Amino acid sequence: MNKTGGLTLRIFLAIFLNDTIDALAQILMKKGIVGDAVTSWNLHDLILFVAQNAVSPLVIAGIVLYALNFFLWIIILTKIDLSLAVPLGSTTYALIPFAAVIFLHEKISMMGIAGILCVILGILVLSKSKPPAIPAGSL
Amino acid sequence: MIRTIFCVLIAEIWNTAGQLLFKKSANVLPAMEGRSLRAYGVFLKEVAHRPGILLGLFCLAVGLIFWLVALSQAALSVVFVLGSMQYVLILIASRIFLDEKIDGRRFLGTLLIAAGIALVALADAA
Repeated sequence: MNKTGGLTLRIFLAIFLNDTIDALAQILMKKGIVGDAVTSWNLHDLILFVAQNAVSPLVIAGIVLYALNFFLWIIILTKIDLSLAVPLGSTTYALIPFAAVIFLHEKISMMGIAGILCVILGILVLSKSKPPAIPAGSL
Repeated sequence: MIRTIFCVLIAEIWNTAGQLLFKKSANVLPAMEGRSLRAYGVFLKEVAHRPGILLGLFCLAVGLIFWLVALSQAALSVVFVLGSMQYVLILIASRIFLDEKIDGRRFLGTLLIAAGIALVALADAA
């Protein structure tokens, strides 16, 4: 049984929100990570790393956001084809570099900008993909 | 390199299996009754009780292990570009297992997004 269909603005906004939360969670965790970087795979270092970060408020906030986001993803999947939701879910990869530039003051190259534009073009093309009949007024 | 490609492929197959299970479960979830907090609570409970969802999470966890192994072998940007295989796998799997209609636009749009992600990853590496 397949009761889901194509892309609507509402669903796109839900996916966009899903991505935004994802990007936010990653920034929170990146900012919240404490202690030394793990450079070797020995058990002692790994346990120390996990223990230090399990009490970092920003890391915890990031993990909670991830969990909430998962339920949003399932809601999205009740509304739209998987073959649309997954590629559209990658708008994150256009979002995170932007977020990194704004909040973490990272630099972005011309190639990066080209990639982001390519992703945006792909989203536009996908939005024109023929949707099967979708029940009106859902979501 | 072959080893890394293989690892990423295995990781993406597990991921795709997980997403298929999520989608199969989502297709048979009862629609939410309105958008009250209570409706969300009922929905969450439904989601948490679906074996397909739990099995899907398990698949993602196994995929993550293979992903981490790949990361330990090669640079993130390389692994990321290889990860674009996921989009092709999802297209094929959606067609076969979910009976979704893959038209030309869906194919082209997916390719553009995969290429864009590869560019962003390669730009990061440069």
